[in-house]
Amino acid sequence: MRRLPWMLACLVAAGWPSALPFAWGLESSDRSTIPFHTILELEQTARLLAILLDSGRAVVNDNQTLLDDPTKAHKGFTPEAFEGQLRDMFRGRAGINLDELAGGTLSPRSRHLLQELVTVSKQVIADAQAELNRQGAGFKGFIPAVFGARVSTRFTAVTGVRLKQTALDPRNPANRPDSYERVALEAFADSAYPREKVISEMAANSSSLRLMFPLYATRQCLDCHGGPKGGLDRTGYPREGLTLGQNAGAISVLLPVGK
Amino acid sequence: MKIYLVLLVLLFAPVESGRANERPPLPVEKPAGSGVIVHRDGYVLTAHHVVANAKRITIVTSGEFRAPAVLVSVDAEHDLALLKVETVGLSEALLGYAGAVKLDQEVIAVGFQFGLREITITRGHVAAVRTKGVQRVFQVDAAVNPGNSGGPVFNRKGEVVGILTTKFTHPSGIVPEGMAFAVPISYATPLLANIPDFDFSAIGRGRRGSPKGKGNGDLVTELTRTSVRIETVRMSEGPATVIHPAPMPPSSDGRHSAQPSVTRVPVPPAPVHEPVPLAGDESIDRVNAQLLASQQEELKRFVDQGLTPPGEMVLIPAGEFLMGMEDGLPDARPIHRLYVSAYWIDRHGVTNGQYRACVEGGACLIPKVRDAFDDTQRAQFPVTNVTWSQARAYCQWVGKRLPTEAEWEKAARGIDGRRYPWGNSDEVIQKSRVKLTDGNSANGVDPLGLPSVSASPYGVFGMIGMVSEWVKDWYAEDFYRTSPARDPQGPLRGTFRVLRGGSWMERPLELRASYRGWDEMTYWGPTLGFRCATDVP
Repeated sequence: MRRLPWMLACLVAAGWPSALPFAWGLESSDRSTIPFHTILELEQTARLLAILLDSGRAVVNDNQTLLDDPTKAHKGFTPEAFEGQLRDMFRGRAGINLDELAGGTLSPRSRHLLQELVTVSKQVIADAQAELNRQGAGFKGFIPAVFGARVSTRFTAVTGVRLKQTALDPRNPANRPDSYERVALEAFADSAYPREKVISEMAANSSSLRLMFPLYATRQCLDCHGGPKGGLDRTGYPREGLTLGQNAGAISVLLPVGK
Repeated sequence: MKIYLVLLVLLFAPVESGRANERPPLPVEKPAGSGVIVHRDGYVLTAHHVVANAKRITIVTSGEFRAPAVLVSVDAEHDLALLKVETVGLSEALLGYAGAVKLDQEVIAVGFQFGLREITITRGHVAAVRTKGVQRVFQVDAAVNPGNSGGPVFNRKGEVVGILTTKFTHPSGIVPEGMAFAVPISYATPLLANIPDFDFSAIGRGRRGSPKGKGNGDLVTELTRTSVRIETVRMSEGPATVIHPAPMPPSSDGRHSAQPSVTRVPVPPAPVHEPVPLAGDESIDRVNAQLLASQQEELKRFVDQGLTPPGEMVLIPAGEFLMGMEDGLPDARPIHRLYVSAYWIDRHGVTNGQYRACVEGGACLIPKVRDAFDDTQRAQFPVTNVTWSQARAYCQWVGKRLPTEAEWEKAARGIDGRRYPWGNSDEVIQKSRVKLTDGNSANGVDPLGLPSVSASPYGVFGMIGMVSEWVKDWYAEDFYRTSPARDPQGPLRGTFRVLRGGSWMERPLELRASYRGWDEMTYWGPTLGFRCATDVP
């Protein structure tokens, strides 16, 4: 019975997006007629959003030792410092300089969404300052996954684009995969699957593009999610037994295609 | 003798079956799939898997014109192949602009289902656009069957917008009934570039000078006339001969740079089919002498141009080499032939002393662990405990860059696919290890200059037996399968950077010159260093 609220949360988080297109297909005779080149643009937008969210996660990952340092009060991990590192990380990973978006080839919507995601990410870091600078406390639970979840929630509220961190067996039940996500996660879990390559779908009877961006275990991840499998980590969860570089879930993007 | 008889049967059977109106009782050539004529001079586009491993390929038009075809070019990644038949004056299909294909629009699939003689035309809609890994397809809800593979999908104007493929696997592994996948025609651009004077400007323009009000019957006739049946004789090993091994985009007018959506289509590196035998000492010595001679020649040319060789760097002449290893780890397969332009690479790894100068110059951050760095006794030792970004910053500061993975490997092992810089003998490793444990090098790092035993054929030192070295490329285990055949720069993106080489204490498999290590670019360690490279002007 204790699980009921979680299950409801899971239904809300994972259930509605897959139900929505179905309803659309039935009620709307005016089915979408989006050309292929637009779909490619949408796919790129979704992929870049996933990379940007993951870049933010990676910056938190890189600063984990600093954030967990009980001796330091002011850690200097300000929203501005974070933003600088985020832009560097994104430039390295996506080859795109966020400072020069205006002159680039990205669509206006894509540019807007990327900028919005930077803003939201900074807000999450800004709001976490008190928590992060608490002296005397070591591990504060501010890890890439927590950062990612907070950013995703805000980003969805602001833009309507859903970002979700998911895995086949996630610790947070709200991140449990829906059927589309499960199928993609199973493909990623195959060690022969090409690294960093996405799985995406834009169906004629749907009103949104779906994209899955694979994530890989880093050293910091392994502190909690590595071996020995089943052993308890510092937060009390059983370890997953992941190894360095192994697929460790995905970022799921649901990008509504506006009328 | 038996072989000759079989060959005779193979030669005559198709001709007879072509004349007869009934299906031959024992078809020697297996119906494999369908294709579409893309140029009147006998060029046919089909799916790669239809003709893969075919010893002989025959195309049969709907008018029962039958002719042997050769493979001009393939793109295995997108499952496309271009065939050529020695003829002229075929009816060619119009090609459409894939970017304009809309979700839910009506499309027509044409093919020879189950390899039957009768052509089938089925209608459907574009139900979805799907991407999985390196493949992107239109999902079409037309009824298609195995023989449709490689056949065209037309839009309502009768333009080819896709080629049916079965190689795409639905992420769920289940293909819903009445569902088919087609590769967008835009991915065929690099293959079409092999056709002399192919008119790319005609794509999406429709038939020039043709009246618009064409009847449906005319459209059907046209679709039928431009589609072909493909039959193959398979062999169990080795693919058919490719007359142009690489689908090279036209380069004379720089058109290839104007095709951003297809530039990732690989120019497949020539895979090396015959196993490369491990060369003995004699052969190693001979190759070493050749390499040194070519290096001297290149160096002389360089100096003759009035240029000064950079200090403590080694010139690696332009040319091909064998990269990867078949009997190693999966990510080093396949062994493949690559062309790398000339470059300079540091003779030794960057030392603590050299790195200190950069730190004092304000351009580099101190190593993450500074014990070794601060030890004045170790100024000549390789710098360690540096991240990928620190390595890159140093190389930039000295006006150089990190080497690519291919550059590192060529400098380490030369051109002949040897296992180690010195040859193929494991003995060197055993001896060096013994020395190391006798000595006082605690962390497996030798001072520079010592391991001359591991010098590469070009005279580069310490690539094996010192530290693991950061190189420029992102890591992807499948990169060799799609690597360009010329100056590869690694995957476009990634999470890990490649590390090459390693200390004597690594496992033997990891001491091969083909071994590909990797780690997070923000990671550092006592056995992680680097060296720099620079272009030859």
